[in-house]
Amino acid sequence: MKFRTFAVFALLLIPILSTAALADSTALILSGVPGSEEHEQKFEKWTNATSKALLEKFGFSKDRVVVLSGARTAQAEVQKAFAAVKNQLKAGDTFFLFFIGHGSGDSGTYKFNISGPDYTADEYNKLLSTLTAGRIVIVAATPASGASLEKFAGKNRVVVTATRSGQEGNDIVFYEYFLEALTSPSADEDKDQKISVWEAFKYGVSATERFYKEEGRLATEHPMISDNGAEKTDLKAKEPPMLARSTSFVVDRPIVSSDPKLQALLNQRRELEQKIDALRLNKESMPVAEYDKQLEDLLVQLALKSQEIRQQETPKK
Amino acid sequence: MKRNAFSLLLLPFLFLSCGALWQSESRSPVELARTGAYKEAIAALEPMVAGGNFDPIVVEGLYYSWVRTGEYTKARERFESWSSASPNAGPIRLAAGRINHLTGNYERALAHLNAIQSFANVGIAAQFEKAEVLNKTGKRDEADALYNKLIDNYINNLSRSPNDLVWTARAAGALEKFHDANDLFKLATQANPRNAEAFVAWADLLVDRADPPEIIASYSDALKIDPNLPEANLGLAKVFADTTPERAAGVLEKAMTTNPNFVDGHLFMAEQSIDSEQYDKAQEQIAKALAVNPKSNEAISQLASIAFFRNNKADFEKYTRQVLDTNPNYSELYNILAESSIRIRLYKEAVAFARQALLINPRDWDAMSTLGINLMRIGEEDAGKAALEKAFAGDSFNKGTYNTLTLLDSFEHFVRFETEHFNVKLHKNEVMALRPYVAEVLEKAYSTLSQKYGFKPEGPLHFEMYPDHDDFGVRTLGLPGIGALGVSFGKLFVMDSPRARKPDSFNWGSTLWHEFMHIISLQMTDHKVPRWFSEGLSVFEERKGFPGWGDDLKLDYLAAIKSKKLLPVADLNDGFIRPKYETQVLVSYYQASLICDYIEQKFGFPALKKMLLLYKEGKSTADVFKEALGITTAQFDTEFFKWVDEKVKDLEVKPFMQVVAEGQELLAKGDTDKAIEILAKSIQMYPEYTDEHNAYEPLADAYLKKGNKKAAIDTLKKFLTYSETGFKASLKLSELLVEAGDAAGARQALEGIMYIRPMDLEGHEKFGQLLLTQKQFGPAIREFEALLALNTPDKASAFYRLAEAYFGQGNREAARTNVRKALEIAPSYEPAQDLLIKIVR
Repeated sequence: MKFRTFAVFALLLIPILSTAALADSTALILSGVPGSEEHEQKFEKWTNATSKALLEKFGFSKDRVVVLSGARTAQAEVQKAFAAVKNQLKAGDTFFLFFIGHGSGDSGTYKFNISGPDYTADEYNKLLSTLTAGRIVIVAATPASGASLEKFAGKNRVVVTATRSGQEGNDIVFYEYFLEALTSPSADEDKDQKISVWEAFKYGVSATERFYKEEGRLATEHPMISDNGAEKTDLKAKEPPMLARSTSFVVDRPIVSSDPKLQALLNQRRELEQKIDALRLNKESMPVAEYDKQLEDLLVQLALKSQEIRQQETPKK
Repeated sequence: MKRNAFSLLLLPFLFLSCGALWQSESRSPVELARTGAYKEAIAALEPMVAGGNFDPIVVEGLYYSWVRTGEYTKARERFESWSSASPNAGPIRLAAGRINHLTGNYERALAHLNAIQSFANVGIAAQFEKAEVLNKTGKRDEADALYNKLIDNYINNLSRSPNDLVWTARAAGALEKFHDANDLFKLATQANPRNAEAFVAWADLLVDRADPPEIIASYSDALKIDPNLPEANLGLAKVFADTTPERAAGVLEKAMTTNPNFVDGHLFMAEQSIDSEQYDKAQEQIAKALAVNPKSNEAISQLASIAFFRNNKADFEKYTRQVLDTNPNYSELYNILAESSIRIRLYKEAVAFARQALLINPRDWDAMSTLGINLMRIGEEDAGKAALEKAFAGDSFNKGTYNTLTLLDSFEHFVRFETEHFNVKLHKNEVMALRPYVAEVLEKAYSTLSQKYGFKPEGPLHFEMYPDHDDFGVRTLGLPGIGALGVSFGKLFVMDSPRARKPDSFNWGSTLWHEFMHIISLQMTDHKVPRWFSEGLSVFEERKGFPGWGDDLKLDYLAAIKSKKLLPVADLNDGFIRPKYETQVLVSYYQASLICDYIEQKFGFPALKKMLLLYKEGKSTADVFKEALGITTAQFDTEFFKWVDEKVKDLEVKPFMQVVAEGQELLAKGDTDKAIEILAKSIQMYPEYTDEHNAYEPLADAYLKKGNKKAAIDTLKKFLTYSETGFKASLKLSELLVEAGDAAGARQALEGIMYIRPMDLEGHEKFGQLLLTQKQFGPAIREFEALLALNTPDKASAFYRLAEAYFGQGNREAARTNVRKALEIAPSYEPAQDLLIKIVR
């Protein structure tokens, strides 16, 4: 099975010196106080793996991945981090906030365990409101994180929590599988070389369910997702949440070429992809046979276009 | 559930004001009797009664002490003598009535009881006792009138003591007012928590109507008061026999030690002997019961069972006539015949007997339940359901009835389909993934084993798989909690699906093979094959069904062999039915299979077939061995045990485990070369050990560390010839074999995985990929369809691969449909794009 690699594109990429600003991504990973050696190892593993995936796989710049852990998660440090992030972010950027550690929420108020007094979800919201970003993705990988869902939910936000409520206070396994999704080709459902938040969530939830089934245990965590302020949902969602589906962990840098012919083909391909997207959105309102026919026509065109692009990309001897 | 006005009038406070006779603490001999010191009680109480002390609790204390130590003759003589001397002594007449009842002198019993029906202190007890005698002698209407009178007395406040409440509770139970009876027992035991008989009677009511823990609790409450109470110990033995058989023997022995003449105890032992097909032994035990009560209908019914199983028509007629002459309404005769038949797998016969019970007593709800459950076992589901609904309407407390009806309701979640020889039922959540494999194994088992044994089983044959283990338990026993993985009934066989158990805990393929072999052995012998032989053949055939299937020499079996715990073949049924230690059932399966191995080796496979045909003729095991093998069972045992001992003579558990531990330690320390040497040695010592901490898996890892893939492959192959649940090893082996270019070997390894974890996505992915590369497009289609049925997260890849397989098969349309589905999910998926172009151009 052949896949295009980013290396091929890298040969053809030319930095754009236009006045149009590129969308970028910034991540803040808060790795809370562990409380035991076992948790320390787990949180460290998760934090490092998250950071590594963002930097090495998804194209984040080093200065745009901020990690606070252990003693450095005190309120003052968190405020400083938000201030630094605020300076980096522009209107079209995506901001990722990861909570990795212990959480509590059985009283209805979500708290993430940091060094010293904890911030509540409301207090994090205040910090988030200081940021200018196109999209905010919050991944709360803690027990009881479900208590934060409604607080964090909002327009242009995707919120993923490991539990459905503050009552689910046991240790979680969901994030182990969420992380696995970030590096697993089988999580890339639509084979677009990117892992979207929705794809990672789906993969993580399925694997979590399989874990409890195989262990013969009652599931004590039920991950949830809130998309663009809509009511929280899980894999039973009728349609994939749009924002989560279209937000990928890959830093959104447009693919451009110095070869005008290739650029034209890339643009034509992009148009075909958009037509297919639009057709899929209209699926329910069309007769099946008509839908299938139109879809196939577009897919054939797209396939041929992809072949043309590959031929154009192949270095000539 | 219906209730009448009676139940609304329960007035517990009435009892608290009355001095309950049993609550008196001042009479020490009575206390001795009540707490199980029977001999001491007799020594003290007999002179008291002989001296004219006819206090009810004194007389009752003496009566129970004699009865519970088996002194029936003495008791009858004494109470008859005292009755003659003091005909108006109510307690004496009551005791005389009871002992005559117990010993089958029903006329004499009634004479005593009639005289005291309206006596103040014993009238209620006498009424109940009389009703029981009338019931036993076929006068059901008169008995019911008395039971109703007891209840009326209670409603009208004429029954005052806690003791009276117990008789009223028992009367309610006899009238099928089970809920009321339960409430009354609760009140009675609250009013007098020291009445052990009340707890026993309550537990007896709960049998078949409550969960075992509740029944055990009630018998245990009785034993807390009187630890020697034979009725309570026997009750526990009966419950343990179904739940934890290895505990049954101890409590039964206690009951029989206290009362060596215990009629019910002898009959229970006789029942167990009948289940083990040890009819001579059963007859001896029944004779002991009849020595006490020659008219015991239960005992004579058991004799009728034995006559039936021995095909002795004359005796069967004689005994059934004898029972019905004593009590023409005794439908229990046919219930006993039905239950005995069920226990030796004669389900058709059980149906016939249940029907006969209902001819005698159409309100025999136990018989109706038996009929329903067994109609379902012989594949007559609609008729079974109808019978169960009637049974439930009559007795909504019967757990078997209730559970089975609930199970029937769940059948709407099952999908039915047919293969060439089977009607199959799989759960709708599993059918898409399991169907192709189940169908394949069923037909393979059918063709292989029917050809081998020269026997085509009579159909229709039904197969069912249950993802809920409790549902499987209900389907087989009427109750959840069965330990088995599968059960065969002759034309129907059912089993757990892989999801019913922890992953890798069993192999569904070998279980199906095992159960189908039962169909062969049961039908070939008209269900007369003894339990041990049927199980032995099933495990024997499992081992030939697929590499690694069937139990090999596990640690528990080795320990049993070394400690000489294997049973003589004449007693081997007991290993399954009356295990004496926790692992004896599994050891017996293994021993039985070894017997089949040995017979095949020494006498040839035709000898095994011949044995089946001889059992069909109704021959005993002794005769079968003589005719088929030319030796007695004792001679066989000698030679067989010698053969088994020879197999394990060089094998000692402790040294083996030490070597394995040493090897693993060396591996952990990084001394791979030395670890390899030690682990390889341990495998040589005990190649069949594949359970936890086996040497194979770390050895294979060690070889891979050294880069020796061939040795790793050989190690894993050898492991899988003994292990049927080695999922991870199979996966690893398949990867290594693919790398080594052995596609056929990899295929076998992946096929093996499907019998362990058929719902595993990785297994299907790898298997499908391999089949595609081998251009086995049909099986590849099966794999990718399974992946989609299992809701793989990577649907785009699964649809694409499916499209590839269809395209390879030449089915362009199906290929087109599926590649379109792949691209609908992932429009940029290049391999799928290329395939689409190939298809449409």
